Amino acid sequence: MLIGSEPLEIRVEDVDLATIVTIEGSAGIYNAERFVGVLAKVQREGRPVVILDIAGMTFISSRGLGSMVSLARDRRDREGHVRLVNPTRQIRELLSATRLMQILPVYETLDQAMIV
Amino acid sequence: MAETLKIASDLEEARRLEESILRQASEKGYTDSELFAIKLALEEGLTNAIRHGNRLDPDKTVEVSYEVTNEHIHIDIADQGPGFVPCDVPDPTADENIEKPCGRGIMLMRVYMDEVEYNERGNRVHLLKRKL
Repeated sequence: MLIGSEPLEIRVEDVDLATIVTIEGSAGIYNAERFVGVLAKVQREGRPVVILDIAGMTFISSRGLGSMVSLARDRRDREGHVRLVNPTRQIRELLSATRLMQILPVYETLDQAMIV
Repeated sequence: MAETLKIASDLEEARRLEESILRQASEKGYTDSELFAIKLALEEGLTNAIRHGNRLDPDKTVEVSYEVTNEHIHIDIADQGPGFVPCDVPDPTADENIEKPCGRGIMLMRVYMDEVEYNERGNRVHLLKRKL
């Protein structure tokens, strides 16, 4: 399968004070809107702490990154936060190039990200 | 040999074209990192053309010329919008812009491709990636 053409799968669950969003596959040109829509719903309805488990995410563009930024800013304003779990090397490089790790810190495991 | 085609201002058509170009690059042995870079630049360029250039107008088209060789891939993407001035787009990595949700597309194209050039009007972008 071509890189970045994997189907997008998103699961959302609330655990204690956190909303965990598990994302697998590609938030590419055609399904980025679904990704943006899910994060917008989490922004409206989710818990103060949001964990984005993106270990299985293969691709994201500026559109998807923008929705993560909106979510992070919103949660910070509500004294919560957003954390990322174990991005692939390519998405880490993307986060580094955009300097977004400043507002979207990366943790290696879900357990580490859940520690307050 | 370069190929030129027109697609509607439609994200599904853009996805099909993108997959076709990436498949050709994959068949020529471009690495996963190179394919990721090409995909990212294509997405940003096509999205800009369809959303910002043509404003999703179904009567407007996007013209894409591309060539995939063993040495490089080049892609030109042109929309029918009024264009823009790329230098006017603020640096999204500056501290004052880091929390803005938009404005990263052009910067990402510049980071991931070897050449990114706009025409004077700002409605056509030329992208080039050299194969390692």
